Amino acid sequence: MSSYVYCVTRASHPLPLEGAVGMGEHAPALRLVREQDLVAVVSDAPENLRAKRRDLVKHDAVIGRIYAAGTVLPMRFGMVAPDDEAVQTELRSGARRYSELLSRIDGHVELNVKGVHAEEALLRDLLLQNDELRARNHALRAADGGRHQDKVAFGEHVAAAVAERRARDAGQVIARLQPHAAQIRRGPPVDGCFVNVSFLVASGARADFDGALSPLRRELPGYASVELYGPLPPYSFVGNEADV
Amino acid sequence: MTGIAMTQTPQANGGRLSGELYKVVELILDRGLVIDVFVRVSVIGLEVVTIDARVVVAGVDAYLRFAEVCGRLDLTGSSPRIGRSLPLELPGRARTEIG
Repeated sequence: MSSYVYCVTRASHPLPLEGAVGMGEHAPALRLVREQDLVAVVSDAPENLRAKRRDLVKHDAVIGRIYAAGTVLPMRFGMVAPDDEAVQTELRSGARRYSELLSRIDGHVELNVKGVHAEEALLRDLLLQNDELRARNHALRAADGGRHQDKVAFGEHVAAAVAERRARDAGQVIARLQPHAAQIRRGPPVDGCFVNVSFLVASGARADFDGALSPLRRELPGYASVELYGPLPPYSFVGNEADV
Repeated sequence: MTGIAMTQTPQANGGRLSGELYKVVELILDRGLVIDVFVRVSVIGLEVVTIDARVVVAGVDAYLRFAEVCGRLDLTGSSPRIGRSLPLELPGRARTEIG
């Protein structure tokens, strides 16, 4: 039976897994695969495991147990090894890499920040501040919407202005928060957000990071809002790209 | 609690809510430690979250939508606060839930 892998941590780490179960319909027991001073948390993976949303919750919950007690390398969702022996082999061959990663993220948490623009308010602001765009908008309206190509051309100009504001506000969010982070990693614009960025923050810098949020929110235009998610296990800072 | 009940009731650990988990789902799906020799299970019914930033604001569809929304904005009077209550019908992608 293949093994679903949740995370890797140190063997000396507290492993509070009592009562927790793995993913899949049969709620399999969690197991530990040990190799020298490393340990992986795994469970049996059914042959045809098809991950669903609730499995995502389970994956994160198991990692959360370990994370609550210290440093953990969370696996990407859905990683399955042929068997426990293969996990052990990987821990052995990658021991140095995993130990280095663990040392690097010791005492750090991931904080994810997403910023969104209230679109109507942003567009209203753009039109009010840009005479040319406002005039063209007025002309299209007067022409009962205008011709297709005129609408496209106008919309393209608006889009460029929107893109400019997105980049500007994203730059401001990063500039204000980055000084308090050890590492930073940007993500895709999920749900249209203008900024999606994860910070690796030392526990000693948490207060300063949080303290930088309020002035940032005040500085940003009224149509922009930012939310903080976390602390999270350092999903964004354990991949091969984490040094970027 | 039976095993089945547990799989059907998402448990939040360390005070993290599934609502918040939803907001960082792309981190769990697209980030995290990858071991090349392992395989990845098929992910059913989970939206692909890798989005090209250009899709949000570029392309003829986006241009037409911007033109449409601008055409319906009320530019007179005082600024509506963050426009949350404006009854504009935007595609789901452009709608914002945060904040």
